[in-house]
Amino acid sequence: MAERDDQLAAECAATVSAADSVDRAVHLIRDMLRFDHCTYHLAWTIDAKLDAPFVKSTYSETWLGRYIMRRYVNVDPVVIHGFQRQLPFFWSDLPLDPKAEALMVDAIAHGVGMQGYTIPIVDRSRRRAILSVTGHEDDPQAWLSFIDRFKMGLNEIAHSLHKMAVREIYGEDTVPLLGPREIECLIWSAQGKSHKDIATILSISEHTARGYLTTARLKLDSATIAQAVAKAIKLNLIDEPV
Amino acid sequence: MFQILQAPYLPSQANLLDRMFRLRKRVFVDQLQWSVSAINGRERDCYDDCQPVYILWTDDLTGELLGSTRLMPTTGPTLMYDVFRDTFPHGAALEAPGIWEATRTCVDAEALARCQPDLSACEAFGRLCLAIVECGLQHGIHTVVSNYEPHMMRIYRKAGLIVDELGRADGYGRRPVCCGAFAITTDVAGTVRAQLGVSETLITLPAMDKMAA
Repeated sequence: MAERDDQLAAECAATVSAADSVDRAVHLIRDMLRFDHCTYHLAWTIDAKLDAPFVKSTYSETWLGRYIMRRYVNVDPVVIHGFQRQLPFFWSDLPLDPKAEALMVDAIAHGVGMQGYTIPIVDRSRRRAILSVTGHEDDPQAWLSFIDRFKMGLNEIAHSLHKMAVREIYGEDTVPLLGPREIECLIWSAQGKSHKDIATILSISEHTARGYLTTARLKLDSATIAQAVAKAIKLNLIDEPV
Repeated sequence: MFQILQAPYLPSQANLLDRMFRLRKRVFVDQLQWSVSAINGRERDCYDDCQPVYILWTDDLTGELLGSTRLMPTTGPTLMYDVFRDTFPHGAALEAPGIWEATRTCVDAEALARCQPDLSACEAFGRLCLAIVECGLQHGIHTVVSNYEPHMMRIYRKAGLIVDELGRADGYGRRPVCCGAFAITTDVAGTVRAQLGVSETLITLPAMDKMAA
């Protein structure tokens, strides 16, 4: 079960990183992992002043319009907490003042979903963003265990979506900087070596070898090691194995 | 009691945080003599302004602060990347969602001797590590990167934690400072629990949220 979940999360991550836009990606996440909705929200400034936010969502036009008209962003605890916290959180953990409560009731009435989960995102430039997913499960416990199955994968998906958004806005597409160890691990992977082999060859632990491969893979914006190797070869970061 | 503290709840716990900055000054400036700056008896740096996550350990009975640590996601600005880069020997900065750094992890030996005389400083440090592991498991964090002095390796080991040393550097304190990583899995949590003889969950997260709200 856990393996199948990881595989599904990995497939989702692969599909998301291959998507041609953030808008398309949030729809793919919703469909693949069977959420009610998925929303990516980038704040322009680090202190979360939402002057002109970048929002891509699967919510209905009606709800998004209503959200703006009623200035819900000023009272929305998901946004307020999401741009300040660092750890992912369940909406059920949020403190609700009367205004926030009214917003939540209205949101549910407009099909936002009964339960929510939000992943705060921060990058090196201190840009803050959030990825929120919602579900219809009435039972909070079922929602908790559903998220629990995918939370590791969701963290990765959130960041790959963020990279995509930054590219969409700023158009930056630079060659990633890989460390020598990451390159070494990729080279051995290209030769068909497993984590275990690489760990032995480089005299490091298997966990560390896996760590270098993971960071290399993420820097290369790839869902699989094979994809990362292919990309590294294309970018001339490593040579094609002979 | 172990509590996770992060924005927007920091102002509501200003007093506790102030005690943490004083403890950090005593440990990192006075005892370890790390080249970190202290102002008004408090050790505080720019990363404390980056909305980090703190785990604070207070005595149930007296409310005294027993230990603390600071967690930050490695996708954002981190101390390890900016300051301790030299401790990564191979230039690979471990940065990825799911990898977090724990810095300024410390316990108050005097407060522990007063409040929990049965607990050695070594075991106490282990408990703080277990709190980090629990926090990681709750939030999908699979690896923690940390910096520490060489002799701490023995303490990690005693707590059942396997830390991979990734590198070390001189010039930060009297002794070299190492950089290491450990995995967070349910197996790791189980081993640490068994080693420390702790069966209960140290952190109960949602309760904290509601309390501080």
